[in-house]
Amino acid sequence: MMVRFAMYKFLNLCWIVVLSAVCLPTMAKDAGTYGLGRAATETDIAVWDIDVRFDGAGLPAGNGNVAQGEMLFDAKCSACHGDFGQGEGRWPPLAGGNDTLRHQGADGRPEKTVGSYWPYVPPLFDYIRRAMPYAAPKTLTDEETYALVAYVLRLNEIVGDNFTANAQSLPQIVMPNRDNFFFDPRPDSPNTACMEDCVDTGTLRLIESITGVTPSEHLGINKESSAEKIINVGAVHYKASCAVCHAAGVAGAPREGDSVEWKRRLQVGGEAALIDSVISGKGLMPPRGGGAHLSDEDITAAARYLIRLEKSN
Amino acid sequence: MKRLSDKELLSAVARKATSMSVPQRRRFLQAGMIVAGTAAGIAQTPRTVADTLQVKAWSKQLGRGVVSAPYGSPSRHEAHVVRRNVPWLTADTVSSISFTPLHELHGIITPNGLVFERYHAGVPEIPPEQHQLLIHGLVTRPLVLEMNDLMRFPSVSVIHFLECPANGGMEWRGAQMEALQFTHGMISCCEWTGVPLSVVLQEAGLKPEGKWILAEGADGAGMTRSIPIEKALDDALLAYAQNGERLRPEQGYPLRLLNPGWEGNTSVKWLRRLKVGELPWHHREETSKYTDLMPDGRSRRFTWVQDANSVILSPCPEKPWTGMIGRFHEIRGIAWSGRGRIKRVDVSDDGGVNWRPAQLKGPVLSKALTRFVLPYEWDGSPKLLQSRAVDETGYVQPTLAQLRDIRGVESIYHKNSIHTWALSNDGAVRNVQIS
Repeated sequence: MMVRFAMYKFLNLCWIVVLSAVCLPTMAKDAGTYGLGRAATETDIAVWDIDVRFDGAGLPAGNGNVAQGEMLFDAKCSACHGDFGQGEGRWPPLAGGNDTLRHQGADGRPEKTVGSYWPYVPPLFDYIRRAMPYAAPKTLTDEETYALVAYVLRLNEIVGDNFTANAQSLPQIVMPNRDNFFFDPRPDSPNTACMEDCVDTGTLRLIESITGVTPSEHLGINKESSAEKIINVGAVHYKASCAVCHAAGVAGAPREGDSVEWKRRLQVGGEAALIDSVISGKGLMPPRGGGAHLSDEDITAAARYLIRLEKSN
Repeated sequence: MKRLSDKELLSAVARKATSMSVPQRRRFLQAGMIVAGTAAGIAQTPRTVADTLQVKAWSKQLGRGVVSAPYGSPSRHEAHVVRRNVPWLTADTVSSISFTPLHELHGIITPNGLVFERYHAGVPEIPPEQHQLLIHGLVTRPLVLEMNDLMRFPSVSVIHFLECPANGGMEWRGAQMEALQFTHGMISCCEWTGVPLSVVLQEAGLKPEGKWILAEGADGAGMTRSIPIEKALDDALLAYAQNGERLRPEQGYPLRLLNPGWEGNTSVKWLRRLKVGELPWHHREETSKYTDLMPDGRSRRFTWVQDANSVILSPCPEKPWTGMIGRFHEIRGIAWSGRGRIKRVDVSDDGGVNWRPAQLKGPVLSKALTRFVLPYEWDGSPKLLQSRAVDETGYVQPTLAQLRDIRGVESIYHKNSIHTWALSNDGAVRNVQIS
């Protein structure tokens, strides 16, 4: 009896515990209007709370120096950013560009780098830790991130060889371009809605576009079917009418990507014979693969799509 | 060989054709018509029997059945209506931008598959049941919200444009794109459905000292932007649907922020975290990018609003008026403003010397694409076509010269100047600049 009573009490206690755990977040006195979601715990927040503010708020514990950063940079960053942060190909340069921000057109281009343009250092830590290395973001430790910040600053000659980056040192650095940002004053460039004789035609100068840099294939798209268009059309028909058998190899249909089988069939009579056999039917495949509504042109496009699919596999 | 007139040639072809069997006649007529067209030197594509009125093949057979395309797809004859990119613009396509084919679109809604793309680390494929939004910082009730939670809040549906502030940016220093898709295609307009950010912030118990919000994405780049609390409480939306369907992965599935009228980059996609703070963060995307470099070497930051802008869609380089002299036309275009409604659009055909008011068509919504048209008889002479938008604040879209006078040529973002198409006497259209 005692045992049973004790168990009864214990079970009741469990219910109270369970109910509290489930319901407290939404039943609590200060719950929001809709009582939706659950309360975020300190642990939840700690996992995701990675942002670092311009003044250093949010910088974690740890250190990293220039020498450590150089080794890491060579291994993980230089392929895109160059050995000295000069940038490779179209990837962004990180260093250089001092005194280029006033360059407009004829004087050469401004080079916006960490050294020439970034107003604060802590967001550099933030960005590297959240988004770099490009192909493997959020894989760097805090120490590695500090080391990379130290090295990028060194590449920009903002710190010396012996610099160590940490939560104390980074907010103290005054970047060269820090005071040169201001709040947007738009609307600017005022115009008026003049309706007649608004411009002195004598002053108008017409500037044509540069030719040859625009990917402009689509400008002539309405003239004739391009090879690409045929492939696109073929893909639609293949997927609607042929894939049901050929994707999975139903009833002996050669599968997508079965390069050995497709090569064998193409060797027999080439593409033309293959397309003819689709139109008239072959083996268990009915004429037009059962797609009675498809024209010869549709069949050809679908077959070319499938052959091309095979070739690319 | 005697040179026949068009009429003589055609009647000879018709006489010969009557003595043939039907298939023979068809082949002969096709060949004959082509010869006639060529002989007479007709410039346009020769008309064939297929163009004349006859019962076509598709009227005499069955078409595809239901669910032959379970989600549906555009007509195969529209296969050229696609997003495109400029390969040299970025190092790779994972961190790049594509362009909406504005010249092929009608109305004000951009189909979801054609909304321009911008990624900084590619498109993450996020299972919606695993996606969570964390709201913390200066709130009394830090919250974790699942998608199911978010979709239970009171919802709204709004139609707004979304534009990259770099739209037109390739033209700051000079005209260099030969197609409308690339001069203006970093814009789209959709119906967005979701829960107002103000509702969710209230649910979390926004503290009075909370003045800024950091919005963070769940993609590899972990995109972040600082949003002032005034915008968050005004019209910012946590969007989970687009044009009636759930967001496309390219557009932030399963959840994105939408800041209507503001530069697209602030509308953080794959939104996973909102942190309320006292100060802006000044992160990478609001210092080294999305800031405007002025001629004096200083830079504007927090340039959020997309000012009034417009462009003519017909004619344009992709939609020339070849062979259309003297016929009725509508000069057609779109206008938009991040500050509210479009009040008026004017059109010029002489490079901005004289202007005529266009008609606004369809719904004229705040911070949405607005269509305009001008009925037009083209006499075949060369024209310099421009459009000029005026929004409800009275702001008048500036000329390129006015914009450059203030901002120089290195600003990159927010190039909203009046655009010029040169219409040649053969109907071809070129992108030009007038300075």
